[in-house]
Amino acid sequence: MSGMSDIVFLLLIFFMLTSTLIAPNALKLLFPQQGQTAITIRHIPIIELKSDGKVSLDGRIIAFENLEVLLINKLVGQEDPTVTFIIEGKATVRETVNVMNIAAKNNIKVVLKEKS
Amino acid sequence: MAIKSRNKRNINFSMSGMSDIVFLLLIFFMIVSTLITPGLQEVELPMSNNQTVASPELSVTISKDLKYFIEGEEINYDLLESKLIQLLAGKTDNPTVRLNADENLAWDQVMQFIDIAKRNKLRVILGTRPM
Repeated sequence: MSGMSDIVFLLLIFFMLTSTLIAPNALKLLFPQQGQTAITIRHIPIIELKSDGKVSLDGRIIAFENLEVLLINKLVGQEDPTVTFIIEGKATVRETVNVMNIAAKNNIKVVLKEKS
Repeated sequence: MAIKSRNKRNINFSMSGMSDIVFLLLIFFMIVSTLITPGLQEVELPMSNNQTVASPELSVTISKDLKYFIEGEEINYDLLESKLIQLLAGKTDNPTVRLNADENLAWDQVMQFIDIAKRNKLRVILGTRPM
């Protein structure tokens, strides 16, 4: 019996620890910092999500499936790849997160910007 | 000499009671750890596999029918900002708030909350559910 309770104790402690250490599934939202005039040497691509769910990259409307490839092509070789993401008001949260997922998957920073 | 001491103590340690409790705790934690859900409301979170290490101070939920909840408690939108300030007073600078927005919401609604967050210098993480 003592062998079994060893294992049970071990499992108990394991689950107690992991239940507190669970990393929440979430996306960090970054906003442009105000009052900071960044000197932009490099080109930061702009992704726009239209109200009807269409995606445009640097002003050209593209298919969502192509976004990943095109985005990587634009950012190839950059040290701290960043994109600006403009979301129109009627776009849903789901579509927004879908775009952010692509960026997160490729370790690209997304900065949210309001439509000006 | 057939005289024996009658009150011999039973020196065996019985573990079965303890292991009952341990088993119970084990099963409890196993179930709880899988059942942890960020919000108590029924919101369909958008799907993402991204994980953040930032630990939020509190969570704000926006449901599909545009009801606002702070930590599961419904709150009027007009009172949201003052309540947030009140709850986060004295916390570390730039506290993190987890926003659980229903995936069918328009971004407008999320932006409204983000405006509040920006005004009060809060960090926002957008709650998602694993794919």
